[in-house]
Amino acid sequence: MNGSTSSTRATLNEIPNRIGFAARSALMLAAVLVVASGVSGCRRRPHVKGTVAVDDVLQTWNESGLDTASVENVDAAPWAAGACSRGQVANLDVLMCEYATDDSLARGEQQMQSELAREQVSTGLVTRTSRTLMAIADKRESDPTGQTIMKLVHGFRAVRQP
Amino acid sequence: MPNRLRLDRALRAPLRLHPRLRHCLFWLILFAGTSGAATLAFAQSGVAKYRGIHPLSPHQGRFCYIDLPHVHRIPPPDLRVYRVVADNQHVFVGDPVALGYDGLKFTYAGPHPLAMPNAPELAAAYCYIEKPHYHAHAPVETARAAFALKDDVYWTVAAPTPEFEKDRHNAWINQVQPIGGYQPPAVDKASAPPGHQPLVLPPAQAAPTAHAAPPGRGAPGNRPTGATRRKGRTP
Repeated sequence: MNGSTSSTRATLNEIPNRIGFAARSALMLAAVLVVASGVSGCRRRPHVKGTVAVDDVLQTWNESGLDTASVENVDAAPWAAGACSRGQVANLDVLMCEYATDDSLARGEQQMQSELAREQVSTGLVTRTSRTLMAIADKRESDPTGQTIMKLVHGFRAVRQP
Repeated sequence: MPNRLRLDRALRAPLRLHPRLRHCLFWLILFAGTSGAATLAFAQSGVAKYRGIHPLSPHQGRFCYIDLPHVHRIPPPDLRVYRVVADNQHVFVGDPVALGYDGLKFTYAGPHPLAMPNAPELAAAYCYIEKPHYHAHAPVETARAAFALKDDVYWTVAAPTPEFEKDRHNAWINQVQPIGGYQPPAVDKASAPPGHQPLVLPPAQAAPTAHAAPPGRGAPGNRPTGATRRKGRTP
């Protein structure tokens, strides 16, 4: 009995070590995943490989002092795109979509132009860099001279192409 | 003569207009047609298309600085300072400073090839502003040979092509009034560089009259006067 008690005590003494080992392992695994995600450029939005990422555009705008918090992922199907995000930046409606092929990009551009015409925006434009489209619509006459629009365009085009 | 015959002759008689009236009618129809086409395009699309910077309606000093294709709800109020290119896009070709522009500008001594960087389809077109004026662009590289730059003024050194006279109706741009406070560039025509060839429109030729042909004979394409015209036969 004394032998079994000592062995049980020894087993119980090992439990904290085993828990510590498991916790340490989990922490190490989490650290590896975090580092790996940073290295691979993991983004918080869906992204079509081979074209400019919306995340990178938003980061460029943020660095120039623009608030992009309201830009959210939206269904990309209406725009024939692989990924789309939409929101307001500087009181302007912005839609950005990433495309995998030139054909789908052409269809998406036509859709965006049609929407601008349908909504009879005060000012609007559709532009592209790589296979990423951006449509800007000023529906409230917030930017009649277009200078804020051009600031967004310059930031959009400044993103390094993949 | 029976009334029926009188009516028949009245309907068959060619419409005769004074040459000056005919000339005015031509310009009126051209202007209305251009405006009507642009208005129709706007009505069909819901927005008006622009390419590059341009004055904002009603051309009283506000300016749009979007330097790429874009759209506005309001169409151009004055087509004299625009050219319409592919896809019904309006390209502003006037003096931007005269209509409120406040940015980088380049001085031209007089009429010149348009040579705009954002409108290659206007490569053969001309600017008809007769007095020294500004544009927001320098001549494109491919057209630099037609210009000489002296004292920061672009002077034309190439003879005009046939398009210069063919598109002479665009000289209506000289009727556009600048906004208050506009200061045109100070250019001394006497300081023009060697080889300068000023572009001057020759006087408009008078339209040929219906009475130019000798009596009794019709010039080709003219209807003979006072004669009954039989179908399929020329009297």
